[in-house]
Amino acid sequence: MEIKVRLHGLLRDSLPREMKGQTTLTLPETATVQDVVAHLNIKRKVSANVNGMQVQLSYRLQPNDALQLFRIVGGG
Amino acid sequence: MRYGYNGKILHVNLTTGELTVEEPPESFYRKYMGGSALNTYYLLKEMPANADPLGPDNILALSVGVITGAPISGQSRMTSTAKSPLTDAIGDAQSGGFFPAEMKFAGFDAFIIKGQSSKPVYLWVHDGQYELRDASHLWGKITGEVEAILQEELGDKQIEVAQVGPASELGVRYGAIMNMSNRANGRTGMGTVMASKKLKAVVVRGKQGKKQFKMADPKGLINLAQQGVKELPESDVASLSKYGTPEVTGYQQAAGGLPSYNYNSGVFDSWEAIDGTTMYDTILRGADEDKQDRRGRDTCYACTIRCKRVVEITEGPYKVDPYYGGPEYETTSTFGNYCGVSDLPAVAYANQLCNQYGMDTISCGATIAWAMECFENGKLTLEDTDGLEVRFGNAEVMVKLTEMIAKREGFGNILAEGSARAAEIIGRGTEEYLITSRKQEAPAHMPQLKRSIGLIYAVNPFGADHQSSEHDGAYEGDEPEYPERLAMIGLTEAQPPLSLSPGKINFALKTQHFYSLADSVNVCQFVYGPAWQLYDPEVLRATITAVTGWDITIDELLTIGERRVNMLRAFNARDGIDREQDQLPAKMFKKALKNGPTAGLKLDRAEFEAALDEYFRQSNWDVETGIPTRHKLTELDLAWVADQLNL
Repeated sequence: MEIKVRLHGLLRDSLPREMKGQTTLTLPETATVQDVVAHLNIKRKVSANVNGMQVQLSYRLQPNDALQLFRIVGGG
Repeated sequence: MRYGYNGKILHVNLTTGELTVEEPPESFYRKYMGGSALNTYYLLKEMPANADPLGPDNILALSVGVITGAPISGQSRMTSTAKSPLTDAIGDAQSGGFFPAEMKFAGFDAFIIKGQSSKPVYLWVHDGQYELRDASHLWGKITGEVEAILQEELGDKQIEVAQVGPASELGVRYGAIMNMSNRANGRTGMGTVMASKKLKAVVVRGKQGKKQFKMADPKGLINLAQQGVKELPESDVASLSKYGTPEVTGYQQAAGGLPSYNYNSGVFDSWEAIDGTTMYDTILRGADEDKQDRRGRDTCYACTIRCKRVVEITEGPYKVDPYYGGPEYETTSTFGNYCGVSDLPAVAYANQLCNQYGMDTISCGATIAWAMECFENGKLTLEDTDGLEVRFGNAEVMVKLTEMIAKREGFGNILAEGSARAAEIIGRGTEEYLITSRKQEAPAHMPQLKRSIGLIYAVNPFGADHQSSEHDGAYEGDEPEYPERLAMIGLTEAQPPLSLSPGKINFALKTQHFYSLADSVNVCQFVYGPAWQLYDPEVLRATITAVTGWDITIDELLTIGERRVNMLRAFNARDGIDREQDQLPAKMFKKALKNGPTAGLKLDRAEFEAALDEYFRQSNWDVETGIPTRHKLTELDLAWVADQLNL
């Protein structure tokens, strides 16, 4: 299945610069958010959002889902 | 042998023009360290109770700390403390840049400024020498112009200038002290106090001081500095390096904690237009030639992180000169999502106005957002606003009001008082929309989501502040991210999200003591902290030991932080301020948030009052009044403060 992924903030540097944090991944039907995090080799703690709703990393993705990942941060 | 600090404090009486030097003993520095604790010591000792914040009795203390000037990240900070004309309580604000280190190199650890001059003056301190000079020709000028004139006048491009802008001169109650024309001691109106004394600027230069800076263990210090350089890329502050504080915008949005439309919602649909990556891609200096990392990032003295934003806009209605730096997260929030404004150049331009005229961007942007909500609800009309449509999302009006506040023109003259006083002036139920604690506008971290931050907003002696304790997320959930670091300050039992349990309150209190220490040693809270920062509490201890030679423990350091909180609280108690003023905005209890993950959330009054009880109990303060007890003050070696309070 295809999943649209958007990486925000520092996470976008996990992809080549010209992609500006946006990509489409082809994943097995059983893929979870955690699998995407692992696939993109993201080591930082993240918060996930699918189609505008906050989800857990164990969330099982559906075809054509739009996944957004944010780095969890403290202050600022 | 004295290491790290000068051992000299300059007392300035602006009424008489007298300048005297005090040389306190080593024990004084070890007890108070510098910064806010040292400043508050002088305010308590030398200032009468119930002083007029804008009168000659108020004391403005400016100080650095015992490690300021050491070649390691995060040490170049200066604290300003005085009674606040915004909150009518103790005021306190920090800034970074190169001024703090240069102040140390110029030969002094603190300037204690009293009285009121009859004409504008500036204080010129260089290589241990000091004098007051006429500043009549500088009065009324914006920050960049003043710096240029002073560099010419003193024949030195390397001087550092901390100054007030025209907004402070006109009595805007949230005037900032600006250094480098882009670093602000922003909160609580410390610039307004300085201008009320007719002190336009403090100018420092230490040609020899840098070479003569002595440390007990230079090799140990260099090792700690190099450790930071090595660990930065994989650390949680790597994002601050590249995208700056505005990178936090995305996560705040995702969590529903991005205060929008005057704190009515935790989400802002257009957040991406004003976030750190958009700034990096569009207006950060060098973006057009892909050289942002070299040209768009500035730093504080000896800091490896280089988080400071430098933006440049050469076309369109909002031209921005990189000389005035760039907006941080709090600024993109208050002028952006608070106001429903998604025009990044307009936000950057409002930031520039604040830096030129010397105003706190948080209070300024939040006051405008309050006016917008009043207008949207018909509490303000075009007659009140000089014909301006003060509506959410109107970038042009947001910029116009910023300028009108800075110049105290028309409706801006009322907003210059801050939103709490403006609501008193206007009436008509406009207080319903306030987001103030102790008359100070809340920063961009939401108590509805971060419950312990909300508690600290209420009890903090100088009003709502997001840099006075660690944020809740670090101590929530089944797998907290920084257990080793938090354990260093005695925090080992993470709490459930959204809780205000005794364990969470203990987290608020202990981290408040740590952050309070940070504001006394005067270190950056992005560099040294108990969670996501570059260095942990143990490295802070080791840094202080390497610089000063003091065999010090983390417990002793936390006691200094606790001592400072108790002194601040005692200062307010002398002026009759007690638990009754420890409040959060009524709006946060009455109105549930709209939209996003935090939709429906509001605060509970009973839970909040119980949290206050518990916080005071854990502080060993009187639960009924929230005033420190003699027992606690004596334990902190502050019996003389208990005497002042007649305890």
